[in-house]
Amino acid sequence: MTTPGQRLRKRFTALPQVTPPPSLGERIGRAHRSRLRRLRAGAIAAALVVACVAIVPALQREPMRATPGVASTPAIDREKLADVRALDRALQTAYERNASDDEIAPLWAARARLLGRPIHPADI
Amino acid sequence: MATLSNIACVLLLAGAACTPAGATMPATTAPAVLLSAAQDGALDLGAVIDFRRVDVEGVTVLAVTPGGLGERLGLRAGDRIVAANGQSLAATNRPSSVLATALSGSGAGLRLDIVRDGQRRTLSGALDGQGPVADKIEGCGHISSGGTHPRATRDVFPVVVLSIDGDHKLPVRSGYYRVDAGRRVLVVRELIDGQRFSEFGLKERARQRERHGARLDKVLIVDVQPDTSYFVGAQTSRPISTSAIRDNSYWEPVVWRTVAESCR
Amino acid sequence: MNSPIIAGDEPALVRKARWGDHAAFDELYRLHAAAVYTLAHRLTGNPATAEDITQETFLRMLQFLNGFKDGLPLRPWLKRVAANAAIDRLRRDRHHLMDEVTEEQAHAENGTPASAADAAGLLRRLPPLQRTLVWLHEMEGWTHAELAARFRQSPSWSKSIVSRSLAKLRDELETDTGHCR
Repeated sequence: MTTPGQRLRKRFTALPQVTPPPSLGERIGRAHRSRLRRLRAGAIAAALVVACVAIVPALQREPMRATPGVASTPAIDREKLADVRALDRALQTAYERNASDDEIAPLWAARARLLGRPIHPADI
Repeated sequence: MATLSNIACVLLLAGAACTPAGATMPATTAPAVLLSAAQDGALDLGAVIDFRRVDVEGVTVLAVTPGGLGERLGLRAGDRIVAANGQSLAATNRPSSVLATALSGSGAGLRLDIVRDGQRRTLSGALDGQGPVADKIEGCGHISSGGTHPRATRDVFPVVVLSIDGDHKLPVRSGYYRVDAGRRVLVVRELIDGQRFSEFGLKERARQRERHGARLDKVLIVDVQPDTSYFVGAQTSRPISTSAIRDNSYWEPVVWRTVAESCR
Repeated sequence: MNSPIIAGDEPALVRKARWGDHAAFDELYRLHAAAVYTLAHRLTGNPATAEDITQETFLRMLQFLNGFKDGLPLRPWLKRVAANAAIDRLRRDRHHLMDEVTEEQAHAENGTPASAADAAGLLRRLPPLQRTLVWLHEMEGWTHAELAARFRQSPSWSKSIVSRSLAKLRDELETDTGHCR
C-alpha cells in the first residue's frame, strides 16, 4: 500500500523530459561561435588595456551614454557580478600596494573578459 | 577607423563606465538614500582607484564596480576624486586612508568632490545603516599549486601563484596557501614542461616572455568553500600552435582537483 | 581542431569545447540539453525563460575564469547552474512580492486548468517559489541548508515551505484520485 508521499514522488519521477525546440540549439550554437570570435579579438586587445589606463580621462570627453544595445542586454548575472566585485577588490589592493603595470595587467584583462564587449568597435 | 588601442580602451571603458539604463544620477548634490555594502565594518566604495599616482587634482577612478556604492553615488571611470567628506585626497601621502576614514561611516553621509571633464562636481548620498553584506562567508580553505598534475590524461601542468586578491607579497611562497572562504582572485604563471612544446614553440614562448613578462600571467577566480582545498594548474590546448603561443591562448588556469580538508 | 571525438570520454569533450571545438560543444549540447531544459522548465514554468537559462548554462560551461572545474561530471554541474539561474530570476522578480500566487492566478498564467491526474499540473498548482523548493529538494536532492543559502533564508524557512507544499500536493492527489476520469 503506497503512501501519498510515495505516489507523489512516483508521479514526479515518471514525468517525461521536455524536449527543447530545435531553434534553441541553433541559437546557442550561434551565440557560442560569436563568443569565440569576440574572445579571440579580445585576447589581442586586452593585452593593450593597461596602456590605456593613463589616457582614460582624456577619452572621457563626453559622458558615456548607454547605447540601446547595452541597455537592453540582460542584466549581468549574479555569478559574474560576484566575480567582478572580487576582481575589483583585488585590483584596488594591487594599486594600494604599488604593484607594477605588468603585475596589474592580467587583472584588467580578466575584468574586460568578464564584462564582455558591450560596444562594437565599429561604433567608435 | 578603429585602432586596436581604441578598441582596448573601449573594452576598459565599457567594462568600467556603463551606467545601468534608467539610472539618471543627478550630477549635483541631491542626496539619495544608499545602502552600505559592509566589508569588515568599513565601507567598500566599489571602485578601483589609482592610488599609485596622486596629483593636485586628487586620485583617478579607473573603474566602478557594477552595483556598488560608487555606482549608486554616480561615480564614473575617469573621475578624479579631490576630497572625501571635506578631507583633501590631493594634499596627502596617504589618500587611501583619507578615503577609508571618510567611508568608515562616521556621520550620516558620504560626499565626494570630484573633477569630471574639467568641471568640479559633488557626489553625495546618505548612508543607510545596514545593507546586504556582500560575499562574506565564514571559514577558510586552501589553495595549492602542488600535487601530481594530470599531465598526460588531462593536459594539466604546474603553475606558480603570484598573487592572491591583489597582494603580490604572499607570506611564504610554499605553494600552499590558507585563504578565507569566498571568491579568491589568483594570478598565476604557467610552468608547463618544456617537452610539451616543439623546439620552435619553446623559442617563441621564451621570446614572448622576454617581451611581455608578467602580462602573460592569468587570473583564476576560485570560489573557496570552507574546509576545502583547491589544486590549481595550467591546462594546455592540444596541440600547442605557434599562433596560440603568440596570443597567449595556449593555456588556461584551472582548478583540477578539489578535496575536503579541514581548515582552522 | 580536427581530432576525433571518442564516445564516452566526456571530460575530453568538455576540454575540446572549451578550447573552441564546435563539434565537441554541439555534442555536449546534444547529450545534455534536454535534461537542462527540462529542469529549467519545471522550475520556471515558462518556456522562454527555460530557453534563456539553458543558453546561459551551456555558455557558462565554456568559461575558464570561474566556470566548470575540469574533471567533474558534467550533467550535475549543468543542472546546478541552471537551478541557480532559475532561483536568481525568482528572487529578482519576486523581490517585492513574497506572497503566494493564488490558484486561479496560477491557472490563468498557464492558460490551461491544471488537471490533478497530470503530475505536471500538480506542480503547476504550486506558486513558483514553492514549486522550486519542492522540486529541488525532492527530486534534485538539494538539502534545506543549500536551498536556504541560495535564498539567503534559514533552513527552517525552507523546511516549512517544503513540508506545507508537499502536504498540499498530497491532499490534492488524494482528493483527485477520488474523482478518476
